[in-house]
Amino acid sequence: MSEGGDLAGRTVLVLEDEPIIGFELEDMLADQGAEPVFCGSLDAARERLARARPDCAILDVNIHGEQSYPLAVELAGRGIPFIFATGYGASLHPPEFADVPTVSKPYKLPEILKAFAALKL
Amino acid sequence: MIPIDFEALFARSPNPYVVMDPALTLVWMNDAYLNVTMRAREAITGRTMFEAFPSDPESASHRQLQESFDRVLATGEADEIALIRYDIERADGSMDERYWSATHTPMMEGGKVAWILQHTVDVTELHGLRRLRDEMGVVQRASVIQARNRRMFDEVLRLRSLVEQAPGFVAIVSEPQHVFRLANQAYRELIGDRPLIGRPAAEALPEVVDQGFITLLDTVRESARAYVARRARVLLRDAKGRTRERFLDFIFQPILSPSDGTVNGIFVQGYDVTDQVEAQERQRLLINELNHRVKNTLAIVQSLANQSFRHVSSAEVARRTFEARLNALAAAHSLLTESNWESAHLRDTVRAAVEATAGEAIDRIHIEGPDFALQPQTAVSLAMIIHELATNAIKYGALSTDTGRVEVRWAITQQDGDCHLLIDWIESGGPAVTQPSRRGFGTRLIERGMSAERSSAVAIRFEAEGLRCSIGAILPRATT
Repeated sequence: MSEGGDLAGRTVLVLEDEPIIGFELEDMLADQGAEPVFCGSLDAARERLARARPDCAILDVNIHGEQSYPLAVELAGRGIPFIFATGYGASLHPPEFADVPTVSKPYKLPEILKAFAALKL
Repeated sequence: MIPIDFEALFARSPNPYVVMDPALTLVWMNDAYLNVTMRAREAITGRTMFEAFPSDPESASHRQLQESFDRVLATGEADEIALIRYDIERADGSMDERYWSATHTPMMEGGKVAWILQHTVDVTELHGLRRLRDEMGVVQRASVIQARNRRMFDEVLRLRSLVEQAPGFVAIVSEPQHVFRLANQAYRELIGDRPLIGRPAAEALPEVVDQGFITLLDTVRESARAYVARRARVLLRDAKGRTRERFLDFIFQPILSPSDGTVNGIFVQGYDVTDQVEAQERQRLLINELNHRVKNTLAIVQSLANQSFRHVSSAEVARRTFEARLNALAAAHSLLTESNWESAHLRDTVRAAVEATAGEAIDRIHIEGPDFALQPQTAVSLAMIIHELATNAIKYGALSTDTGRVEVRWAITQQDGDCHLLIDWIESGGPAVTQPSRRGFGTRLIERGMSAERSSAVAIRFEAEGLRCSIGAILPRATT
């Protein structure tokens, strides 16, 4: 990666409630030299965050019928950059997250790289 | 005693009088009587009433007159004939049709009727007028108008009843304060049956003031232009005083005076379309949800494809692997579709996944465990895990021989209000199995396929009699 979205060597927390989709995302990130940390639920992500600080995160907005915005608040509070992923078309984030880069499912590597690049990691 | 000459007085009266004895012999009459009967005094004095004025004894006139005299003679009391036709012979012998009104007053002497005084009035002219009136149909027309009025009244009642029962709400307000004059049942229900008639709108429905509806009525009244609203949101109090959100299609139609075109009042008519608005909102959410699911499913398919083709030894093998995984996914989706994507039965989910994968070998797979409603996502994950286990068994495990068997059994226990699921996949009678050198997608899926559940734990053991896999997870209950 050249233009600031370099994921190589970075720990990426992956919040995705569908394991099969998570595998694909893990592989995409691993191919970029990143270290993906898969979390299938909000609880799992909180536990993981309590133990170690990831470099960045990708959060599926809809997790088991809940929204991941509370977790986004925690990440923002700790200064951990993140992007959103959503299966909904034109999803409207709350105002405080209006500018967070967002990718739509199915995941596409170029979109993910572009979104992370916007975070200026 | 005042000296009055009664005979002279009667004689000069313009009212006709005649005096008879009990035998009805005419003994005295005044000039007015002679005049009205067209007779000379000497021609009739001393003759009886019926000799002086002959009539057919069988006629109604004759009998009516005779009976009146009989009553006076029998009772000694005055008798009246309101109307009697009694024709009088003219000088030329022809008959003049006459109508009379008469009173017969007895004069008593020694307890007996001595004389009868007849006072008669020629009412022929009056009778003629009445007949004329009848001929012109005045009465008939009056009754026709009366009937028409009744029909109009009935019509008004019928219209009022129609308005009352109309499915839409109807109200009429008048005056600058928009005082309620009429409100049908639908309208009264809409506003929670509060008193309306005779009350200004702002007083009867105070909650609508700040929502701008009185201003709207003012505008309609001032501009004499109708206002039409579609799906207007209004908060209205119900009978229990709670505020309800309603969506209304309505029109405020000015009622114009036919004479000068000024606004007399406002006709309010509309429909409560809350149900439709809510149905549309549900539909919008459903379409959103469907969009989400389709995208999610495409993402799963994308992953299955990439995982199937990633470490490809032969394109044909990879294609078959991918196809089999799609089949397992489709089988899980079919099950969920049956329940509108609310839940899937655990038993059906396991069976469908096994059937989609194992084909004829299903006879050698024993499935046993209590049923449980799984959430859609859990059902899909479990179906994919079972598919990978079955695929592995067919390729390398118990189902790769003709004699091997698989037992799938599970238990559900309740702990601290949570449902703990423990599934055992136990293979036996197959070839000796060993841990594969490379951990492929199948193993990854089996080991982590349930990782979205709370506290999932998977153990895979390659034992001498066959593969054993235990999957434990805390499950959320499906909302059914």
